[in-house]
Amino acid sequence: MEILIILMPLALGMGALFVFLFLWAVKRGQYDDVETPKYRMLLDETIGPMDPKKGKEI
Amino acid sequence: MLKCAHCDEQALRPIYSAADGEYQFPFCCHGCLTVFELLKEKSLTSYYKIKNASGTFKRRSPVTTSSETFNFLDDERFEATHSYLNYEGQRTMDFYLEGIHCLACLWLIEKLPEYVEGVASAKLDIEKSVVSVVIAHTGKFSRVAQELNQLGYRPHALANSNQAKDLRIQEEKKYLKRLGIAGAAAGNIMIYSFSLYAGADKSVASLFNALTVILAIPVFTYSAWPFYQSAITSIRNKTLSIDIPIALSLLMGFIMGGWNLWHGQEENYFDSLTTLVFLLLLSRYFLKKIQDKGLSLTDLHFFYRNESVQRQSTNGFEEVYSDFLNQGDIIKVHREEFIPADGIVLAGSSLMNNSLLTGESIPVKVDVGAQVFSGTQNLGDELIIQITKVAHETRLGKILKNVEQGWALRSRTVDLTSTVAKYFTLCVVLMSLLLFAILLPEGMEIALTRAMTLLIVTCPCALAISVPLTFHRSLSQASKHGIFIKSDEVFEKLAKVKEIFLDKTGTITLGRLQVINLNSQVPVNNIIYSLEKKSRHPVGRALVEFALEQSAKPLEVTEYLEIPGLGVQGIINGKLYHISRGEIRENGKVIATFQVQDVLRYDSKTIISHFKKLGHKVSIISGDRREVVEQVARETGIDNSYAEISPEEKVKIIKTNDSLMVGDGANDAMALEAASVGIAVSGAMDISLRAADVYLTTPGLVSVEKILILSRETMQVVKRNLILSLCYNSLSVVFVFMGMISPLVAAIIMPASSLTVLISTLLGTKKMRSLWKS
Amino acid sequence: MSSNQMRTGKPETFTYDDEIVKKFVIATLLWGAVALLLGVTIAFQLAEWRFNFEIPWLTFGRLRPLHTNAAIFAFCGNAIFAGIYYSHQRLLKSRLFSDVLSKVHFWGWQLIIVSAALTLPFGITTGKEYAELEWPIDILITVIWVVFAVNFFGTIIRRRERHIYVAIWFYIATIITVAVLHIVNSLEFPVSFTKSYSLYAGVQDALVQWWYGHNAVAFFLTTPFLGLMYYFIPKAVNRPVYSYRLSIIHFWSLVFIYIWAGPHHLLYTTLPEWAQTLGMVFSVMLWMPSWGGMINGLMTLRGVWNKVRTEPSVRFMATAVTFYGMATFEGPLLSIKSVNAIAHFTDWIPGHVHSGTIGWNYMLISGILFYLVPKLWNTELYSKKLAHQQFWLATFGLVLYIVSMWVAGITQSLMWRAMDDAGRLIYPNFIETVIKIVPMYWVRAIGGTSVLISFIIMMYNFYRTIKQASVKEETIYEAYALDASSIEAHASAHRKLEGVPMIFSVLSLIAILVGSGIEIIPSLLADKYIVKVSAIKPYTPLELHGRDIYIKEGCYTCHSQTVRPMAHEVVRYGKASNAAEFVYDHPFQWGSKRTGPDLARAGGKYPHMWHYKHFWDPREMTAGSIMPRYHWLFDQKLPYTGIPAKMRVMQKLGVPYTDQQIASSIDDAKAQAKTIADELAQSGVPAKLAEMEIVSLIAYIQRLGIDYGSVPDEPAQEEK
Repeated sequence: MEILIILMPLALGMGALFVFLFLWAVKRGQYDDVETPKYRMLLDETIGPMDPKKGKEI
Repeated sequence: MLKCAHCDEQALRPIYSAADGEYQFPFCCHGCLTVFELLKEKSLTSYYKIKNASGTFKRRSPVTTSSETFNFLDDERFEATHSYLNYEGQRTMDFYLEGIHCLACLWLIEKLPEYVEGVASAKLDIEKSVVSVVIAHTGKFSRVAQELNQLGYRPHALANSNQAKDLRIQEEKKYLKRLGIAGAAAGNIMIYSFSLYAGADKSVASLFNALTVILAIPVFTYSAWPFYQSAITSIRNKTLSIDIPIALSLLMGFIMGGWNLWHGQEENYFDSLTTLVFLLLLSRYFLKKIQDKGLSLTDLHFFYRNESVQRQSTNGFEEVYSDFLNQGDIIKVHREEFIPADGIVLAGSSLMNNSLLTGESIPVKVDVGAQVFSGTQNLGDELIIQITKVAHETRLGKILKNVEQGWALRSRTVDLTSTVAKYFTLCVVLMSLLLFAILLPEGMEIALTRAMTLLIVTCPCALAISVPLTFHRSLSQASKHGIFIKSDEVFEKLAKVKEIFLDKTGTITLGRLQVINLNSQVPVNNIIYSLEKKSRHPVGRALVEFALEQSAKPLEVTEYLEIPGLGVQGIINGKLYHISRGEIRENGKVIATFQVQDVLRYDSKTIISHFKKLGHKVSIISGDRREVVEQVARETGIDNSYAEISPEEKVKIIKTNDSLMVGDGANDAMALEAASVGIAVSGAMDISLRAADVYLTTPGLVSVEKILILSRETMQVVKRNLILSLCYNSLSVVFVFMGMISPLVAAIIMPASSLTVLISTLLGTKKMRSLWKS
Repeated sequence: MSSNQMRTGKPETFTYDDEIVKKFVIATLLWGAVALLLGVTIAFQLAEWRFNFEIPWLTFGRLRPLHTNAAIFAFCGNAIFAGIYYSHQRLLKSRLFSDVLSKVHFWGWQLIIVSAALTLPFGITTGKEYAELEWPIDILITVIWVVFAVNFFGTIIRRRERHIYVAIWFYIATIITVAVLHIVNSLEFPVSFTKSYSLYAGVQDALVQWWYGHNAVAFFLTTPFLGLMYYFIPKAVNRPVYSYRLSIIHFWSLVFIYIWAGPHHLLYTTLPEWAQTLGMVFSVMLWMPSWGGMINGLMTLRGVWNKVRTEPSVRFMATAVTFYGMATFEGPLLSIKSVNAIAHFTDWIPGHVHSGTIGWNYMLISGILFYLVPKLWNTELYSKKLAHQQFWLATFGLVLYIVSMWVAGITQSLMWRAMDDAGRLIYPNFIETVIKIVPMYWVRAIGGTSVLISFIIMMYNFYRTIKQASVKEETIYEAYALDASSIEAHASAHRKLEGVPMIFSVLSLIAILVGSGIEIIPSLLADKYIVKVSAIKPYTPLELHGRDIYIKEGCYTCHSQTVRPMAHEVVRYGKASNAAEFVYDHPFQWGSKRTGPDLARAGGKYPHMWHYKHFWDPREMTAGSIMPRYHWLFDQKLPYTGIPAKMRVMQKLGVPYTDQQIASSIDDAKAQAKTIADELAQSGVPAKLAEMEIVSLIAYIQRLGIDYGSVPDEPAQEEK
């Protein structure tokens, strides 16, 4: 199974890359606040002013 | 039923906004209306569109804005202790905001820089409701605070969280990194060792074996470092913690793995050990997370006192941060405000609510020359006070100081797992020596490896993983139901509680006065309601509540006069009415009498009987008059009671071990700290959490019963896991003695033991959830 | 605009690049129709072979690779790019890195698709499943993928939103892993502009191919779609995702387990035992992260389930997540050895594949398009009724597909393995099972047609939606430049220094990868690594020539070339295959489906004349056969002049051809062709056939399994 000589370093290399990405993310504070992003992603578009017709039928 | 456009509350008497176009929007109160106008003026009305589109995730109470000016925020001394410089050299301050409840709030607050000049950025953490505001050189924090306050989010500046929060964040990051590396390495090692177990042939086996060692190095050195550290510290101060056997087994595993690799054998236990390190770090990470959540609440120490105070200075009164008062200052205290420090009244007279200090809810009359204490609330009109004692010298300060000292002195009680660890380590070491001796004749090499294998395989991983997880589940269960627990030892001590001491006011009783057996010839409800409507006095409020129950209607009152301490009087359609000291007089003639009493909670009796059934000895301990205490004791079936007890005497009575004190967080502070477990039922959250181990947000004894049962259940689960893991360990010892142990067998036993223990934890705590349903 | 310049408090205004998203959306719709049409045609061709109208470039062998490549890379590819470019900009609150790169990426990708459509039907293929495109196109794919990566990561660097949302992590994983997979699996040695041979051979080629094959499915059809799910479902229902922590755990656990699940395609083949067990265990472990994703997706809809009834986009996405759960539960089960022994090579596998591709990919793409098209063209959807009709047609078609494939798959498997107590096969000739399941092929074809019709309805629906769109003026967005302050709330002063180690370690990683690659590949080519069994000899020039025709016609799409070590297969086909047999097969041709019988031991089983008549009209030799006719092999000549070049390449790849053999290769080929032609002539075949392709194809088939067949038997490996 000589092919492993290619696949092994490859899998390990990619594993190492993703470990590195994980460490970078933790260091850069991506996981400091894990609650607000799921709300903030809903907020991107500019939303027009309150459309009047909604007022009455609350 | 119309809903308020701002806070979705029922708008009983809706107030309509000015008609823009042909639509008007209903609001439940002026607070919400003013916020709406503010938003309209800043063209931020898409707030409502976002709110309606996305729904809210917390209930919102109507907007109550206080009139504070917040300019004490700009005082340099305040900024020194509260703001910090971020990397860019810009000043940043964190505010806890009340009333964050929906997506639109996040949108509105993070848009702060657009409608407040000088603000560079605002980042809100929705879970903690804490916004960190960065201001450019031109900006002022007071401007930001005023704006937030007007928008209905009352801001509280958090103490200079730079070191504490920074430390906690760095700590957590290091922990996450260790966890990540352990997880990645364990996953990959599993691949290679699994291939070896599945029979990888010669050419590949040595490559895989070498790889497992290379991958294991970072786990044994970097990720497992906390275990070695805590093992060393516990050895240094002669206590035995669960981390010692763990550290021992990891070290042995690492040495043996390296040794075998050096000698070309393929035997190593790295896959089981690295997975074990990963699971241990994971369970401790969860426990740390839930505990941090609890601790962060105690940072908010602003409930019991006002942040800003009017201090007399050269040109009249200006606002100052209450911590910066010093002796001799003259301050003005308005209605409903708390007294920031001990002092003497210079001018004005009013009613003081000292429930915080004495626990009694009946207000005390105060006038010129009287002594007032910090933490009490001014119910009447304005007072001018000269400060005599500040900060820790004040009466409340002293209580808090010796509570904190008591807490520091309190020895870290020896909990169940560390006692187990002591015996466990001893017998493991003994057995490995025994095994070494037995096998010595067969050769040094076999004896040594077999003994070391014993140490590796008998690592108490199941126990060390399950205990934190069990506590984590119980803590999260409790916090879901408004029960804040300071540390996980509480469960153990609560499970062992024998005697329960209950404070009277606010715990067994409602803590509020209620009118009982009012007898009068002529209907007096309308009169009571119209006279007492404006009164602040607790008796007055009890009367109003009573009248409203009879659906009283307000009548027109002229010449209304409230005499502090004496009662109220006024003329209603021609007749003079006077209410004071339990009598109602019409033109001087008594037409009705009534009594006022602190009534029992409806469920107190049944729950106290439950306590007795659980086998606890229950007694009342209170500063109140003897006959009131005895009467409550009779009504609730409590056998003995201590009355007219000063806080100092309370401490002596409670000092017995396995005692549980349930009381008001503030005035029973010393007693709560003295008991082996203190539960604060009410009172200001922050000082209660300093003094007591548990703080209940829902009043009454219901939660106390729940936390008792929860602790008992938790300890049962912990004991069951203990037995389970000890069985596994003895099983693996048997395997080692019979020589049947191999990395494969270990790879099956260790994860299996952790798995079964995890499942028993999950099942154990599932039963608890049913507890809440009942 | 460097990201740490002093904040002025004024937000920056910018616009999103929606033009590129519109282009990709339209490309998705067009290529989706093509892919589904191809799928329906080949489905009908299996039910009734005459549907290829006997045109060479319409036969199943050539259209099936086009269908798979079109569906994966054209349909799902364009949809992924549309979804990623739309959500990437909004999540990072900044325009794409460069408009030019976006355009290059779009037109480059369409060029790749067109070139695939012009090569695969004409037999220009590498013969490796899901990677059939020849080497020039592979290089073009790599270039365009790099363009996409630069555009993608550039936007991240210039982002205005601090936090990288979980969806973007899924996109990052997709880009990195697909790049590595594609490069490794496309390592081929070019013979000519339209022909190349895979670097690896036999078992090793199989492992690399299926390590790529599975992960192409995993990292091209699942990870990006999970990212799209985490963005589009919350946006469609305006509710936050159920648990953001769970999605982070889901991502990190998925990344580490996926990469090792490849071997479950090779269970019971000659792959070493431990690799098979490893593949099995990791595939079963894959079940947990996948279901973590499903639960997170579905729970996001709590509280707004009524929108599933009213909103087409929410309805499609919710169904997509449910099918994702089903497919990723069926997958791990199928990779358990005993289940795989039943399902492998049968029709159950395409059933599982299509519950994933139609159930998960098609449905999620439709859901995303129903959300995107009205927003991009600033209009209302033309008709919700049509959308709901499309939904029911698609679901009905899919259920028909899956159920018919389950029935066909299990029937095949049970009939193949049925043996009476004396050890004789109850259904000895293969055609009995084929006839039995042809009705199922009809049901599947109808199911496929209903899915195609539903897709056309969607195209019409969007056509009308776009037509009624008013011209939309550019909406201006505003957001704050990322101030350095909040990179780490309390970062110490040396932030600039941090940049250096990151760049340094990325470069060193690439160096290691490239280094180990260069250092290892030559050693791989050297002979000493190739296990040899003396009896196995390389193919003769004519047989090598015939093998290329076998690959050209895509015979591997219906025939497998590996006998599994199971009693009924040994009795039906002959000795179980051994790893050494395939040592000279560049690329390996084990195949993954037995619509027709296994050919590993076909050599010498039938006389030349049988094959001659069978290729002319399979029904003549086996009544009821659904194999197409290959009459063009009888009048098309594949010039022998190309043989020496092929053999030189094979020599470089480690096949022991001597220079002398290469020099005389053309004459040897002609001689061998002549002997075959003479034998055929005895039973009345015109002599001029010697030059034709049919002769070299027959030579190749007659050689299959001959060498190893003569080696004494080892005991058949008992079925586990």
